[in-house]
Amino acid sequence: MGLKNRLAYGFTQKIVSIDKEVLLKILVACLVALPLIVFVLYPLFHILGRSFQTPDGIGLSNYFSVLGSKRFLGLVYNSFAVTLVTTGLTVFLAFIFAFSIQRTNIPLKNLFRLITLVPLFAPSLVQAQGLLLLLGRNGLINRTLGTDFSIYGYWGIVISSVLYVFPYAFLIFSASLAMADNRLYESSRILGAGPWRTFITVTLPSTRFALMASTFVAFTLVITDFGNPMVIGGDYSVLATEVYNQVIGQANFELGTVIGMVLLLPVALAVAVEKYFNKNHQDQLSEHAKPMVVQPHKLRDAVFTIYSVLICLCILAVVGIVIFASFTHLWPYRMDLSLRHYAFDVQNGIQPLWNSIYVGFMAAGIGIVAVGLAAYITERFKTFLDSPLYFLCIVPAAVPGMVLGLGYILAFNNPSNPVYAIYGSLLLIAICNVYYYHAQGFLIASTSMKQISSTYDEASATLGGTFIRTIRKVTLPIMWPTLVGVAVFFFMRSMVTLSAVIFLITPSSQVAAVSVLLLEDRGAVNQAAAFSVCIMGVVVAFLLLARLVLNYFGYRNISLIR
Amino acid sequence: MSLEIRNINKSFGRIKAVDNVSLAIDNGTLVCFLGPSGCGKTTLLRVISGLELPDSGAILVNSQNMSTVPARNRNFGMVFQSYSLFPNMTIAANVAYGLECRKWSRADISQRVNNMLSLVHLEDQSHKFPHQLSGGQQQRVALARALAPKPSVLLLDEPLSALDAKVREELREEIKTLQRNLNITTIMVTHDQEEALTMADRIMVMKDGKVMQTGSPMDIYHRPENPFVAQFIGRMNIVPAGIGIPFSSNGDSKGARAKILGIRPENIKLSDDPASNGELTGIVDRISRLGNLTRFKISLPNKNGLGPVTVVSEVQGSSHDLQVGTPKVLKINPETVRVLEWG
Repeated sequence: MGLKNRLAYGFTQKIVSIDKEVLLKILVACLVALPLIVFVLYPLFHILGRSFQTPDGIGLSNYFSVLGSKRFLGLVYNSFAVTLVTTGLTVFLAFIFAFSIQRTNIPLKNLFRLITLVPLFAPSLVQAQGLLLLLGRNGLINRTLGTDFSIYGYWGIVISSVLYVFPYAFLIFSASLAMADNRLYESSRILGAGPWRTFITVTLPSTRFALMASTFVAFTLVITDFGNPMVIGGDYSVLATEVYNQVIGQANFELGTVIGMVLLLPVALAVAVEKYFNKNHQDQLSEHAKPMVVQPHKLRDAVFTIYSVLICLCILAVVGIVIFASFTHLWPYRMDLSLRHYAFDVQNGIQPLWNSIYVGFMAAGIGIVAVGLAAYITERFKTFLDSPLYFLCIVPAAVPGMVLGLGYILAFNNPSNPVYAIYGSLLLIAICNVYYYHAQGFLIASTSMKQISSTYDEASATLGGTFIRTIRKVTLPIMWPTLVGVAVFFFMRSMVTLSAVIFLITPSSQVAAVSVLLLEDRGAVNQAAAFSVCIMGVVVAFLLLARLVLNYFGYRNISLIR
Repeated sequence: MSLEIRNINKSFGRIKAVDNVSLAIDNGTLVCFLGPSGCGKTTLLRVISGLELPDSGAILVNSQNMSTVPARNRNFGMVFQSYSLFPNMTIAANVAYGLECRKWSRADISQRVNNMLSLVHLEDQSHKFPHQLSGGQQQRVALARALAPKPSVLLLDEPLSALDAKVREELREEIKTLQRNLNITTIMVTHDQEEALTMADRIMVMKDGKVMQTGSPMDIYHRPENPFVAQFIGRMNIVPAGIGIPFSSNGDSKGARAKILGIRPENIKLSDDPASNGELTGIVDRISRLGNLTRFKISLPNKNGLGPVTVVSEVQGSSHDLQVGTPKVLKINPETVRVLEWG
């Protein structure tokens, strides 16, 4: 070989990539990371800053005055008393319910399953709303039986919270119990183990990750929930309601932010622990696994049928009474039926419902792009930005909605900030919803991205396709059903969420879920119920539409309810 | 096009997947990278394709350095083990994909697609979607798709391993014929020695990221250079030289003494004649009748403190009335014995 050649190529030449496409990829990754920084990290940073701001400059005095106060210790105690008891109860009840759906031969499984998921379509305080209509002072029970007991307070919060988290825990258990290797169960039986021993040695170990995941999800949802305790808590305050009272009631941002920080801590910890354990665990079966065959057992099926009916009755009662109340003339004094509450003869009329729908559509649109791109980048780009971006994408899971909303006020209610231009608009509410639910949306998209073989991208590249062409011609046409799922997810959550948006609404940008809270708060029970029913109606209609579109194109196995 | 790879290195974390591999491939040659799973053959192919960047080294096509050229601009065709046909496109659209990337005119594309599909005998399937085709048909489409843009080099990543045995054999013939007719420089990765022996002009055997031996199929089979190649390609008895099997020294002893020898089972004949000088006698330990051939396991007496050694002999046919325990003389032509290790 000639010297010239040798100089030109070298024998052990170091590779320096000068591909323009790599630069473009890095640019796109930065473009996706930027809004996450602006709409998640920046507000959080502001909260942190504000919590240290005192009349005498930067200091810890806010923390001292909050953490040292007896009232605060009481709030922490209350929050944990509610959260731990609720979490324990929910995990226990939901596990048994999921077991009866997946591992027994009870009838009407699909119906039971559907009923369990109904509360997900309703504003996140519908449980407290329904519980009050049933068991409150003016509730159906007290009125009919002439008794006078009160559901306000601790047990009211616990019961409504259990109902609130139940579907989430159920979905996790159901997915985990649906996966089973029948060979293990056959081996267990052949070795002479009874059903109880099989349950302890085979079923329980294989669901331990679901057990952990649902515990952490329940914990996070309950400790950050603010709608239910607000409505049914009475004098029993928890951390989440206190943030609202400090900020909205007393305009005390400093104390609000300190409590927000306190709330952030256990949630962030729970999410971190959950992610840590999840990382080292793949919930997958070997390809030789045989599908589960449920053995016939009459007594077991009878017991589980009764259990499932009872659970479904509780859920239906709470949602059903809200629907019923919306049609009564004046609850609880005139129970004759009337449609007058659907005239929405309240301030702003029906506008909040339209606002919710706009926000839902905007969140769905923005969400698809944000989450779809983020998933594509982290799964396919193979640049050094993959893991930092992945981390940014799931950070919102650790941020309570109220804390994020509060951060938005502090960060963006400031004319010198460019985002101020959309402050108080529906657009900012939609953006807030997208980034509040970013982690879950991102995980839906990236899970589906993982299932699409990366050799499609590689085939496209070796055939001469740029990554833009690959996305347009290959990835998107394969991915779109999942993206419809992502859109439904963002739309649904935007319609029903309360906590993140509660700080962002103005009279003109009020959303329906907040209307329910405010109407409930001032005793307009019937109108509040009518709003809840409308929200459910819109969500169900949107779900059906999405289902219809997907079925039409032959994608029956895309799950829409998460 | 001739292809040359020089001193390619590629590590994943601490694992060295490709360890300083060099190879020159002449125009129109089909080279097989052969080795067990995890030997680095697929990684090397991906480095050549541009899907993976090497840590160091160079890839040259007609003496032109391609190392920093991204995969999409290398003009290499690639066929994957999993077919990887785009599920959302028809067969015709799949084949047209690379041509659209190259901005061919619509008329040219349609003509080329027809030509390519008739080349792989699928002209009547062009409107179907991949999932409507059998595995063998899908892989032929993948082949047509890779060849359509007239690539300078064809890369095949275990193209036959996902297929049934019968289809595999058919497609093996078809790929070889196509490759020869188009005279296209081709690299095929496989772990199947039979595939490599029947299809390749040259074989590069790899293990742990390193090249164990490169040569023609018959070279590799008859003249393995080390115990790994000897055992990976076909069956070979590996015995210590001290046991006393006659051999004619092959190649570069460099004054060293032979340490390990290799003999193919078919080159050990069993005889009842008395042992002449240097011939070994062993006891038949086990007999396996495989129909077209019979396999004997022979144990040789302990010699020079090397412990008991067993060798395998294979004889055509199954009509041997040998009994276990019979002593036999081993007839071995020294020319068929390979020295695999010098010490």
